[in-house]
Amino acid sequence: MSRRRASLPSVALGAHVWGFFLFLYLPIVMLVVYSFNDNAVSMMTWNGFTFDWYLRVLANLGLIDRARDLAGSDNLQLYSDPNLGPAAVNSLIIALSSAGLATVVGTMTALGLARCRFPGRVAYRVALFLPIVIPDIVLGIALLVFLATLGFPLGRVSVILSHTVFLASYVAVVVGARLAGMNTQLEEASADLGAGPWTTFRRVTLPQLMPGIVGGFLLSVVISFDDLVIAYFTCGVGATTLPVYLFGAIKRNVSPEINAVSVLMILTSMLVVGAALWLRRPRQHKTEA
Amino acid sequence: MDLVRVLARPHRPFLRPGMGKLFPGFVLFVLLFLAPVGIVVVYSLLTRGTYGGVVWRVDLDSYARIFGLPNEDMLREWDFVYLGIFAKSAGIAAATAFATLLAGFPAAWYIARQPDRRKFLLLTLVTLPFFANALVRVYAWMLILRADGLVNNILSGLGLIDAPLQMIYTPGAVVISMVYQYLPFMVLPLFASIEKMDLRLIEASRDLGAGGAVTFRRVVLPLAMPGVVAGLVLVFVPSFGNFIAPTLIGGSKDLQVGPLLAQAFLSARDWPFGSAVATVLSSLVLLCLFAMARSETRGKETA
Repeated sequence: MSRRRASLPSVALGAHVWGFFLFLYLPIVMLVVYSFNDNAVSMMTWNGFTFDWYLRVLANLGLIDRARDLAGSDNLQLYSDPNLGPAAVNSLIIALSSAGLATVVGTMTALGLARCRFPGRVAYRVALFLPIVIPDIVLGIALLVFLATLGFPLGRVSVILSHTVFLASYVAVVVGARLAGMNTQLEEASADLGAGPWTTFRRVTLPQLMPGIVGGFLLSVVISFDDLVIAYFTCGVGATTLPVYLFGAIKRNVSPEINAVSVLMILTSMLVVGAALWLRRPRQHKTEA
Repeated sequence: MDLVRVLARPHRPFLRPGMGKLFPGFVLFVLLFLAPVGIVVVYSLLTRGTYGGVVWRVDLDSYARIFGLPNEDMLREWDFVYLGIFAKSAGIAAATAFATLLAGFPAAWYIARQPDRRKFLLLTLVTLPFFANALVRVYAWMLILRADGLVNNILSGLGLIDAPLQMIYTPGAVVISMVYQYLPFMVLPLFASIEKMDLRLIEASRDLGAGGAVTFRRVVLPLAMPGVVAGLVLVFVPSFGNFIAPTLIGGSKDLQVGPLLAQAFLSARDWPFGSAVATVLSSLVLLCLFAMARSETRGKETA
C-alpha cells in the first residue's frame, strides 16, 4: 500500500506467500518423489530410483504382463494383489454413472428452479444445499441405515445412487449459477421468431449452458472418484472402490505400492479438474455482454 | 398478513408448466436424502436391538448418554465422556479454523493485490491441491510425521535428535493435516472480501495518523469480516465431523466425533446411539451454517 516503507512488510508478506505455496505443494511433491524410491523396507529412506512400484501396480491392474514385463526386477517377486484391478474398475464405473446421472438430474433441477415460479421455490433451493453441507459421514451412515432397513443390497448400484444424491445438488448449484448470469432475451427472441420450446432449448439455452454442464460433470466425476467416506459405508464387500481399497491398505500396513497408487489417483483427478478449470477460464473477449 | 395475501391471490394451480423438470431431482432428494436422514432421526429415539438394528420402542436414553445424564435403571452415574468427545472435536476444529485464518489471510491479501491474470493463476494454484484425493493428502502427512517419516529422518540426519519425535497420532497432527485439507475454503472467501475492499479507506486511515496495527484492527479487519466469518465456518464445519484424519493420524486417546460415529455403527452396532450422535452433529453443523448465513444477510442490510 504505502510505497514509502514497502521494504519490511512486503518482504515478510512475500516470504509468507512462498511458505504458503510450499506448504500446499511440498507434501504432494514428496509423495511423487518417494513413489520412485527403491527401498521396499524403509519407504522414507532414499535408496535410488526405480519404476518398480508403478510396474507392479500396472501388473496388478492387468495392464502389463507380470511374467513377461517384470522379469529380472528384485522388488517384483513380492505378492500380487488381486483386489486393485476390480477396485479401479468399480471406481470408474461408479464415477462415470453417478456423474452422468447427477448431471442430467441436476441440470433439469436448475432449469426448473430458474424458469418457473411456484410456492416453496426458495425453500427447495436452500434445501438442495443440505446434501452438500451435511457431514459426509452422516450422509454415508444415513444411507447405510436406510438401505439396510429396506433390505437393498449394497454394491455398485447403492454407491452410484448415494453419490448421485449429493452430486445432483452440486450440479444444480453450478448450472444454476450459470443460468442466473444468462440473458433471457435470446430465448424470447427465439420464441418470437417461431421456434417451439424444445427447439429454443436445444438451439439457444443448451449451447449457452454447455460450459457449466460439462464443468459440473467433470467435477462430479472427480468428487465421486475421490470419495472415501460415503462409499466406505455404502459399497458393501462386493464393490470396493479405489479410495476404500487404499484406506484399507493404509490401515493394514504401508507398502511402497500405495505411494504409486496414490500418485496415479492424484494424477487422474488433476487431469480431469485441469480440463474443467480450462473450460471455465476467463476469456479475453466475451460475446454475452 | 401473509396469509391474507395468499388467500386473496387469484387461484393458480400448484403445478405449473415446466415443473416436470424438477420431478426426477425431487424424487431423488426425497428418497435418498430426506428419507435416510429422517430415518436416522427416528432411530435415534428408539431402543437398541440385540444384534444391531432397532426395537420400535421410544427411548431417549441415547441422548441421555450423549449429554452424560445418569440412568438409575442401567446403574449409570453422571458421565461426560461423550460430551468430552464433542468438546475435543470442536476444539480441534476451532484450532484448525484459526490456523487456516492465520496462514490464509496474508496469502489472500497478496493474491487480491495481483493483476487479473496472475490472480486467476494463483487462485487456481490454491484450489488445485484440494482436488487431490483427501485420503491421499492425509496419507502424505502420515509419511511426513511418522516415527520413520520425512521430518524425523531429516532431523536425525542433521544430528538434532537422538530418538524420533512423536508427531503422528497427536491432536497436532490432525490439526495440521486438516489445515492442509481446508486451506482453499479459507482463502477463497477471504480473497472475495479483500478484493472488494476500497484501498482508499486504508490510505485515509494512514493519513489520519493511524499506525499499521490500528489500521488493520479498525479498518482492514472489519471490512474483511464477512470473508473471515465465512472462512472460519467453512473450515470448522468439515473439520468437526472429519473421519479420515482422526482415524489415520489421530491418537487413540483422542477419539473424535467422526470415528465415534463410525464405531457406533460398524463395531458397537448400536444404531440408536449412533443415530443420536449423527443427529446432534448435524444439528450443530447446520446451526453454524445458519449463523453464518444470518451474519451475511445482516452485514448486507447494514452496509
